[in-house]
Amino acid sequence: MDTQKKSKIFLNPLLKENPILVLILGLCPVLGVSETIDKAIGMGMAVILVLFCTNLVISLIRKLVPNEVRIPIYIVIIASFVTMVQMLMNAFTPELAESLGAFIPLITVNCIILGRAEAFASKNSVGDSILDALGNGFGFLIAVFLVAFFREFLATGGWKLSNPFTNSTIFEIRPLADFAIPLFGQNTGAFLTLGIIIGIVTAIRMSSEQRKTLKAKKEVQ
Amino acid sequence: MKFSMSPAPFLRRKRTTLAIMLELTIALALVWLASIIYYFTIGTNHGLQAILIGIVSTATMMVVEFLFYLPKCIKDGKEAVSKNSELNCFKETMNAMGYKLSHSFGWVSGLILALLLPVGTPLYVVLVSAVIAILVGKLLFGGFGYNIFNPAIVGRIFAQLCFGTSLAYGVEESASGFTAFTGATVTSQLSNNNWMTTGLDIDLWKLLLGNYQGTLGETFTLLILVIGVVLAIRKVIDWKVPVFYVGTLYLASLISGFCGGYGLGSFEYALIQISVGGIMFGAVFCLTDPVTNPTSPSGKVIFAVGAALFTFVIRYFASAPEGVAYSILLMNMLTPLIDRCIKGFTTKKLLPKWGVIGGIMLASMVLGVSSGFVNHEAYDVEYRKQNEFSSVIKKVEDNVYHIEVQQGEKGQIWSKVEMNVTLDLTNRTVTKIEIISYGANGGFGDALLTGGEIKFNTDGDEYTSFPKEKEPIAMAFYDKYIKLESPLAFDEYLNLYSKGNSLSAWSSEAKNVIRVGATYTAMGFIYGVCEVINYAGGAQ
Amino acid sequence: MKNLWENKFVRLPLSLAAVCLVFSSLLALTNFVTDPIIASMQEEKEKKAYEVLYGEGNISSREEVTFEATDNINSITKVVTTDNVEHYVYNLSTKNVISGDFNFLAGIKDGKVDAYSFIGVENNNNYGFAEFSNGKDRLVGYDGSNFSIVSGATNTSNGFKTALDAALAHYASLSAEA
Repeated sequence: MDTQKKSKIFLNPLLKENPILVLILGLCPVLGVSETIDKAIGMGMAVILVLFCTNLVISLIRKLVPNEVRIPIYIVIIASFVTMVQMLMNAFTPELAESLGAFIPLITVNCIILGRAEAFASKNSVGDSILDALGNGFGFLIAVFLVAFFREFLATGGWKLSNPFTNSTIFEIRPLADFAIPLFGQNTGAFLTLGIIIGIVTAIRMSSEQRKTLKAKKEVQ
Repeated sequence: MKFSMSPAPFLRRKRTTLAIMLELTIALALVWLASIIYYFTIGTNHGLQAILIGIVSTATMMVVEFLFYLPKCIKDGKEAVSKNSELNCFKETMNAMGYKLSHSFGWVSGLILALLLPVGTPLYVVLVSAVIAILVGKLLFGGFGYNIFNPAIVGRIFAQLCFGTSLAYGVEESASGFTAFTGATVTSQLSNNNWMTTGLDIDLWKLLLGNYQGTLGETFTLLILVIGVVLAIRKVIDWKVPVFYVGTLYLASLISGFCGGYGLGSFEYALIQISVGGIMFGAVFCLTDPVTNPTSPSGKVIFAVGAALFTFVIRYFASAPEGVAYSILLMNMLTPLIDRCIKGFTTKKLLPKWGVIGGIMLASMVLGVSSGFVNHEAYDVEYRKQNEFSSVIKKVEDNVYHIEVQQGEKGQIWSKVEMNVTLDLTNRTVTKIEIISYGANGGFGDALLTGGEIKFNTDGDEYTSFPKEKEPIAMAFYDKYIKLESPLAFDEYLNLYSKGNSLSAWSSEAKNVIRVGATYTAMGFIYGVCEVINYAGGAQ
Repeated sequence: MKNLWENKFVRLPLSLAAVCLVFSSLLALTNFVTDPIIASMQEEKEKKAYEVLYGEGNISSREEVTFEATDNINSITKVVTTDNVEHYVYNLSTKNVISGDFNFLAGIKDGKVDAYSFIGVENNNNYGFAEFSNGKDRLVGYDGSNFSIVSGATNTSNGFKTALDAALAHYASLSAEA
């Protein structure tokens, strides 16, 4: 019973309550870094790291933090961790840091991080908070990767993956390079792709919910 | 929000939307047929391309609609079977789908989109634009009756934004199938000449009868006019919208013609303005879409006048020949607002008070815009600027054009060429090139343009960095493109230029010809010749 | 003690201060760890460039010179080589070169460029870069008036010329003061 609840904490944010596709939180970095899957994966990793650290720390000190100043304290914690991640990225993955540019410091004001800190980490135990952080982080990564997957394919006709630590290409395939639609590499394409993906996910979600209520009704009868 | 096409009372005659749309389809098919015939007279590949574009566009839209409505129709089919188990599930699904498709009128948007695209559009562009048009423009908003924007226009704008350079106005047959090339249409010629007709050879009757190249639907303006009148009489489309749209545009062009000093010629000038650029087509078929324009009659009038003013402004000040499409989208956005403002005032009570005020406002706007701000200078020299190239073209004699090309600006001039280009438009060849002056900084470019005569810098010393191994390549370039012992076809120059006008594109693609160490000079020269060809209208 | 803690004027600032202290120290720690790595990456690139300038191991002393910031000049170092000759080494960046800007070092002595080398550019298949690359010595001997634009690399040559002009202007101002 307990493990089921714990696994739910991790699994829910992945798809069913995905912070970006379902809760529609923190769309700004999604639109900004989803041009290539390289950038998307890099950003996703950074967000996972920040979420993990902040949730851990905040749930550790949750009993000591006075209620009136909890928001400033959370923000100090989040900002420090983001700065640390940025410094580490500048040192160990310089090309990725340069291509992500201003979006790394923008993780600080990402709704997901403060939202999870406020809604979950400040009220639950350390273990649960860590699971929640990982779940939401991977949910973010899945969403950004999905958008980047389609955007890069439509905008350049293929994909390119490279190792951020050594800047060497792992693979690069561009099967449809002649039919590329450069519009999807720009902001218009970002909005279009994100909108269509959110639409499809919502449609699937609603139809599965309808099916569940129908089933429940049938069982009652 | 399902819009009905006329105000109360609604119990008039038994005429379904389907019947009205069928008449509209017949009209569109007539226009399409006319354009196919016209393009067949130019060449079989043109005609075939025209047919294919129409088929691809309509078929794609129907397929997308089918796929989109499939889940719901399967569900309906299953429900019908569960209620009456004698029915066949597949048949019921097909019944539901048939009903849905025939009331969603996808093929109408398909035909309109096909008629909005030029004949040289590659088929994959048509496919992608059709998918986006029907999906983003109509289905995602809720299907027929719920869309805000005209789906065909959405597809057209998408094609323009993503594939702008592929929308070619001519199709050429080559060994590997069709290759498209861009050229000067009458619309772009007019827009380059600041929408004045002096110096340009435009025959009104030729325009009306479709002897120029534009999009598929632009060709037979007169035919569209006749069809529009017939449709209005049969109450398929509302007459107010096209009449007020074309009327306002005519009025604005008339006034701007008077102010430009055309005198009585303004009437013909204004007629030319409204025959060009798909205005007639947009007025009759796109603006009158009953879903996307306001319900009330006075709302429709405001809609039409607004669209006309937007078209006028976009054409004159933003030099975008496709002003019609953008203005239609803009007014579609404003339709709910117009509806809300006019709510309840659809009776005749409105006319005296608002009519007078509206009329005065309209007149003053038209007067102000057209006379005050429009630049009435017709250029008898043609100024062009593209990226870092700027050129001045002047017609010296029949078929002889003088052009000065300069590349670079702000103290960093990279190449300069001044030459007289003699063209033979009937055979589409360049017959003579006379280099009048060039950069003369002792660079390799001078050697290129003069066929190796200039090898020294201005101090009289031989060049310090003359890459001798590139000399034969440069001389071959000179012999082929500049010396012209025999006339050279337009396409030889156009193909070099159409490969891209940025340095990196040329360097990688036309290496053997262009990258002889005089990159900028060669680029400037080729650019100059191609601009003259385009200006003379020879790129068709 | 408990009563002190209940007083909110003590509790709130104290907790804020505590958090800030802890995290600033964490940040300082991370900075301490990563800064040398970042700096060393940049230094390695510059060191390679310096070695190319005057040969390995020929530099006996280096001294930074302060200057007014301009577009092209990143830093100026006064370098004394082992034969006791003073050179001014300018760390320059070209601006507005179409195919990509370059970051390079140029050593100036007696109003003339006597050596130059690129920082951090290893494989660049740009024709312009190939013409100016480290071995070619094209910029050597430039004193403000005798720049020869390389045919086929006009844009890149102009970029270098502008950067070098800025450096030479600064050098001239130095000797004017002296």
